[in-house]
Amino acid sequence: MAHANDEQLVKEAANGDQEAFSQIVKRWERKIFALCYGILGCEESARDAMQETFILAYKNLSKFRGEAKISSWLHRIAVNQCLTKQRTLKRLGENSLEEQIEKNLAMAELSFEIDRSSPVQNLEREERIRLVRKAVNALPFELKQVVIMKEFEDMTFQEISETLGIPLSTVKSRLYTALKQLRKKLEEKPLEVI
Amino acid sequence: MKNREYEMFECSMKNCKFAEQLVSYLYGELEEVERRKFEEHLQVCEFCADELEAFSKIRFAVSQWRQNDFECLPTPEIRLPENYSQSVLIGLWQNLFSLRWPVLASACLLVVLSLIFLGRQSKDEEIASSTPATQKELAPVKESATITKDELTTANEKLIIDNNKVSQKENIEIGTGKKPSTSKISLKSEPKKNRIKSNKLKPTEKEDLVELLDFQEEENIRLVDVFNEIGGI
Repeated sequence: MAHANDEQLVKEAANGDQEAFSQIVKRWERKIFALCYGILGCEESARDAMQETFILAYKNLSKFRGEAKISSWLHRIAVNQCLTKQRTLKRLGENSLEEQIEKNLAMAELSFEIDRSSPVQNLEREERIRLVRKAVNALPFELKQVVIMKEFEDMTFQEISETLGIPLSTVKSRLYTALKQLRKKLEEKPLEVI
Repeated sequence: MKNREYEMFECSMKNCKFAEQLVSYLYGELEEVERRKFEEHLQVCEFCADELEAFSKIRFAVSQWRQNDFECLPTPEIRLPENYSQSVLIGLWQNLFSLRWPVLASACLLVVLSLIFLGRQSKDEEIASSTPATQKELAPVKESATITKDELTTANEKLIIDNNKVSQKENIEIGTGKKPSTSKISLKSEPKKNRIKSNKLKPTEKEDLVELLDFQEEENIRLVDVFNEIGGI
């Protein structure tokens, strides 16, 4: 079962084989979690979005026609879940996502304490991460999505192109534009930190 | 040399044609030949070299963010509903009834329409099959009708002969110099009186009267013909 390809697993899962679906989850859970985390920037929200993604996939497996890859299908569900989550959080209050990110940052600071580097280096690193995270979150969604897929999921340009259903050149130009915008935003802040 | 100058000029316009290659190079996705070409380009293009440096820093910062915030996080456990196969079946059922309502509705409509059409067709067939029997039943009636027609024609001929006799008598009267007491005038005036009276008549009487008038009119026509013939003579 572990060596079966995605298509076989999807067929078996659609026929009611729970083990096959568990294999699909095992294969893609980390990448989907990375995508959700990258987009939402918060562990709790990312966990919820990931959970919802797999439950939705599980319920709608019969709808999956096999025209696209299962990874692309899961990505699309995950992206939709992230957008829904973002909207919900916005409705609850503008700062809720930011607050959660700040909480997350506090947790990260705790992990820094274990680091043997000097306090100054830690502070610099911390500031750098905070700035880049803020800049990535401020990117238009289509640019942010490409950055997250590339940086958090380690996807190739070809994989991103197939997943999003856009030409390879568009993926590259989006990433180029995203990096340019990030550079511009980060240059407004003290560059020495970076 | 000329190419190098051109490249430098192009890059100074802040819109280098190597932008795509730059991104691919940054993420290590350039093939060997293209990579070498781009490295050569980097030596002459300050703009690309500058961008590459800045983008590398950003990549480093993002990777630090990932390592610091994400890598340490355990993958959450997915809790799926226990009754897996049941929910898959429910999903199939829901798909059938949630997404394909228009298709189902149109299919139902088609079935209903076809039933109506078939029902009508079978009725027509029944009528068609019952027709020969009725034709057989009606055949004697038709025959009797033809007989009555013949009878009528013979009766008509008799009437014409009688009328001829009458006209001959009248002709004789005209020949004597007396005013011809033509039945034509009297016959024409009679219906008027009858018509006035007919307003007060009962429906059955009315029908009888209409038949009588029709007959009289026919008679008039014949009489006219007779007079014409006499005139012709």
